[in-house]
Amino acid sequence: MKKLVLSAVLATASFSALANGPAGCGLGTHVIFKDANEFHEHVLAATTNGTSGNQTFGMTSGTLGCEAADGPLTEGLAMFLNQNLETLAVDVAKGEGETLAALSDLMGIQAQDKATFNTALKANFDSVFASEEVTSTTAYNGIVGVMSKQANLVKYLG
Amino acid sequence: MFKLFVFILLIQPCLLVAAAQPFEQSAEKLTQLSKTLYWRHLLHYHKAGLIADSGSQIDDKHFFIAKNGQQNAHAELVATLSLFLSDSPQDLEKQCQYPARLHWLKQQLPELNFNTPSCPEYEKWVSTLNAEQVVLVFPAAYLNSPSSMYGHTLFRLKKKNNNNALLDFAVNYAANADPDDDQLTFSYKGLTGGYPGVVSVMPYYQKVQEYNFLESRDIWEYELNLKQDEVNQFVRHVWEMKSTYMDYYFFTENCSYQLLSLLDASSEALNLTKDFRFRAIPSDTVRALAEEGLIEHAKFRESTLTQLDNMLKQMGDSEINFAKSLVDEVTPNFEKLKNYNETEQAKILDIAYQYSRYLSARKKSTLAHLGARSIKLLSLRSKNSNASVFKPVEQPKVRDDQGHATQRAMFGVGVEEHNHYLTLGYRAAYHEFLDKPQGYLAGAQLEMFDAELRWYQSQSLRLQKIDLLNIRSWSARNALFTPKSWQIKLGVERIAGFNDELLAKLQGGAGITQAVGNHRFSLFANGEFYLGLNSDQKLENSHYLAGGPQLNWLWQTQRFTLLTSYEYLIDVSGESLQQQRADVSLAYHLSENWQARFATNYYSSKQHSQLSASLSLIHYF
Repeated sequence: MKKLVLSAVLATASFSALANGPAGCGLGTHVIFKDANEFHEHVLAATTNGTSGNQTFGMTSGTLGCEAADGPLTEGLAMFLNQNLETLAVDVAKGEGETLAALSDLMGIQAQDKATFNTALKANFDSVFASEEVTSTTAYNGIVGVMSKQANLVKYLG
Repeated sequence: MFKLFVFILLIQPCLLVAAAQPFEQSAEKLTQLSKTLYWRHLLHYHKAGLIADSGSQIDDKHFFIAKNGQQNAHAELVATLSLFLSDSPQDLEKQCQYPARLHWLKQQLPELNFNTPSCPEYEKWVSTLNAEQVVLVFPAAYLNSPSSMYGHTLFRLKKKNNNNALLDFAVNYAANADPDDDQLTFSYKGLTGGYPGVVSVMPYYQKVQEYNFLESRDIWEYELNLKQDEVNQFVRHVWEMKSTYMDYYFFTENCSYQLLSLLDASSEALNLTKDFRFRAIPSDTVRALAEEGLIEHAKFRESTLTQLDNMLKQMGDSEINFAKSLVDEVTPNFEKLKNYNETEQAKILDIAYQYSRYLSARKKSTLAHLGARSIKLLSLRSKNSNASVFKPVEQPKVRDDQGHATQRAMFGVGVEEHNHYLTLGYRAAYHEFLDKPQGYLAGAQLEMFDAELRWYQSQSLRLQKIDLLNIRSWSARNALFTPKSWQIKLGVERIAGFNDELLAKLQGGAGITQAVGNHRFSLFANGEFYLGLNSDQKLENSHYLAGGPQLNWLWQTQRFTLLTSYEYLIDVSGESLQQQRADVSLAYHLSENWQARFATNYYSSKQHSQLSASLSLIHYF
């Protein structure tokens, strides 16, 4: 699995209920074909793919996932933050985007407060994504911190 | 007229007590049900590959209730019924494994007194998915990896009352490869069914991350117009499938094929797998759905690189170079941003950020400051009042499933020096530069098994060539980076200048490509290696090795494609041949699946030179 500097693995048990990611060993591509830029691997990949053409064979992590096929569905905020931190940071910096919209849906923000939510996060980008050491936990705490200062958003913190 | 319990007595006497409910069910009715296409779809009895009907493709015996259920659909039906009619605690629990079967059998045999098992785990799972629509997801090929042209397919289950696709769930069928296997083992096992293929369900955002961001592949999403009860049955069947496995074959029983088999099991009206006995190319499986009228709407989800290209088109060179310096330099001059207006600043920061992530993702960068710089750029961006500043990416006019068909037949006439010949060709897959470009990744070519027979006036039929593999990847430079172009060809061919012997050949090289409008120019350092196959060799050493530069010009328009190339080869194996080759090919696209092609090439070495030309008609099917 490619390490993204920004998306650290959820390290603490601070939301223990949510810490169960999908079991398994990540993306096949990055396990077997360590660097998909190596052209000979592409050749091999295409060859072994045969004219059947399946999923590009090792180019495509999606077909080689080692997911626990029969595990429970993974849901929830921690899981989402874990896997979407980088795209979320981009959306927060702009103040709009699909990932940010998904976050506000997950947090139960109602339509009339979404604009406030987006604006508040954008204005406080530096406190949510303080440094490259950001983890889903620090980001989450940052988001909660921002919301607790907004009259319209406090109610969503339960 | 047997009664059902007589059957049960024969097959599973232990269940007799549990199932001995008084009901009338004719043997004919059960036989007829067990022969229905739909029951066979529920059990995944499909014909695939060379083996005729050999029972179920599911290789996990736990999926079947009857001992011989894998081979005998009738026995499985009887065993299933007896399970559903039992009320022992053990059986009640087992009933939860087969919601799709139960649902269908209840419809078929309403007169029977079925149990309604209590299945809290399953109920929770269904309500979490809360599916109202099935969407087929097709991540397209990606830059500099023609072998990814084949693509992958998976499903997204659209949740009721949710309009954010990221929060839906995905249904994926994949080979669970062993991460410790090396590439060859991996390839071998993949071809021979050595890996278990499993159906799994995960958040859709996981897949979007994987494709759009990690691999940078565009994604096509096709909304399928299944009725709500078909969607429900699809979900029930996924539940039945997710705890079992099928041997994964890259050739036949692959992801695309098995997704069709999941759809077949969701509706009595469908029989999508029937046309895919020998090969299942993802784009072809999408076509099969389109032909059935199942696709009602297609949506394009662009990758990071597509977004980046779109951004670059909307910026000037000086802005791009400035953005680049913001990433490359250890202590960049952020003050200079003030020279631009608010919108331009937003654009510069957006592109600089994307560039910084690209560098870190491609592992090509040793810049220690990259992570901190990415965050710094976003932080500056958050202080800019603009939301989105770029015009959105336009959806391609031709979808990836709407290009030419993937098999190709060719018929033509040609002349070689003074010999006239007829030519007949067949190509199994997939796309070359001279084929109609719409619906295929620009600058990528992938051909497998391309064979040509020739019939000369002077002699009988003979094999001209078989290209087992012919890949070209001409990724064009852009303002930010210069990807490597590469190409490789492997096969046997009668090559001009070698007495028309059939030689094994390996050709390939690396280079760079520049795109200008719909032209691509590439410069390669190429090498080639030939090996004689006959005992009466004319080649002195029975092999030949040469290398040299190659220049190419590709021009693609709506109606025609022109490909010209010139190659100079210096012999390094002592055959003392200096070879030059020039090719010009012009393809005229008559329609989606028909093409007329004129090709001419000139070959020259110290000993020999010749000019040849051919004219052919090509059909894609």
